[in-house]
Amino acid sequence: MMKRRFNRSSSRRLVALLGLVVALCLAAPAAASAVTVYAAASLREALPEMAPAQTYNFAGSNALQLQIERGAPADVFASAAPEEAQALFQEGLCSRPVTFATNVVVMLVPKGNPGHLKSVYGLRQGGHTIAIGTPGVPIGGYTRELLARMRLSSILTNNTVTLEKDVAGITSKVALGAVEAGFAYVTDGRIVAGRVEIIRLPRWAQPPVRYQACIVHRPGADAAGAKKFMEALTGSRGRTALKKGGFGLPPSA
Amino acid sequence: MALIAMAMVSSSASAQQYRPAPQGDDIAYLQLGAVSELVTLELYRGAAHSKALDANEKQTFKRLADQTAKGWLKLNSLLGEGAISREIFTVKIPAGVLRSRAKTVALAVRFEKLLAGLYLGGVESTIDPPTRLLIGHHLAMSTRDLAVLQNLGGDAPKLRAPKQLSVEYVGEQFERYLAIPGA
Repeated sequence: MMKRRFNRSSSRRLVALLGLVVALCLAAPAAASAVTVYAAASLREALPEMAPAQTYNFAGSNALQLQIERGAPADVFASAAPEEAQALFQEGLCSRPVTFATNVVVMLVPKGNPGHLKSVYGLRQGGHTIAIGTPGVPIGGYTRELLARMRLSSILTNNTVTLEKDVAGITSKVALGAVEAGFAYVTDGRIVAGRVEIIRLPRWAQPPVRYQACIVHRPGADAAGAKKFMEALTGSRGRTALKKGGFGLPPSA
Repeated sequence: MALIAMAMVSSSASAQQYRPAPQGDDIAYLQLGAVSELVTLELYRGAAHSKALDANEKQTFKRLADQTAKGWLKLNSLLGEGAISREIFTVKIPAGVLRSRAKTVALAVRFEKLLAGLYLGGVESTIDPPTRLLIGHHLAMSTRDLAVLQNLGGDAPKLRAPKQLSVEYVGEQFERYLAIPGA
């Protein structure tokens, strides 16, 4: 009886041990190949679609730049504007940035358009609530640039403006109906297409929205994994995922 | 009007030494001016090779294209990081326009009227003086080119000043000829 109990207990332990070994074996290769990608919030759907096994940190590009400058464990940095990636390159903290996608700024309104805004010019009269990016985040800079090009900077003083630290915050505010309009990328509008309406802004006033990526230089970085990720990003797999997400593509090299 | 335009060109030429530093929404006139000049340039380049025009007319459009290219380069260089490139948008002039002499000249006149109207608004509205002078220079160029085109169309040059037009209106008109690659 005693022997039998001992045997059952032993076999349970053995099964558990084997399970642990199998689990470790399965997990080990994934951990070795997963690179940490710090990417602009607007890439939050397209990049996991392209490479689901990687570790991602999505936020405003300026905030991510700051984190990398302070030694954050990033292997790849993908920015929504050239400035952030170029700054890291100048500081010797990443490789020469590569342009891998483009985008277009649009005005989002909640489904049903409670502010009755037919175009961006409807904001000139004032009295609306709008969400835009802070000046430091790429979408905030692009929005201000676009409005100045249309002689519409005054809408930032005529209306009640909420400042968001990344484009995901703007999209959420609009999708939840917390504001009557928000300025984001067309790709963000597509992510929440069921909850927002996209109002196109003139092509002639569009600032050049260029996404750039680079391999982060830091001790302990997975340089080989980062290189593979960059190849995927700029190759056919990345271009397919980006195009599916509504991004524009630079001419292939 | 051509004489007035020439006088404006020479008087504003000295202002070119002061580099424009657009303030606030001044950039609207440089940006839309650059876009509009690019669209106009594409029309002129197409017209310079159009079979619907005779050799003299093609030569006139080639000259207009060369002058417009210089103006466009000047405006675009002031846009810095935001300068226009083919990855932002491309220009599409309907092929049917270039197959007809009358349509080509009519569209060219239309473009120059829009440009003159835009620049007139810019001269009145811009804050930065060198930017205003540069826009005045482009106004003079557009009125001169308009006179040339009206002559080509068989019309006597009009002595009326161009009608001032808003950024919104001119932008809408030129928007029709733009396409975003991959969008």
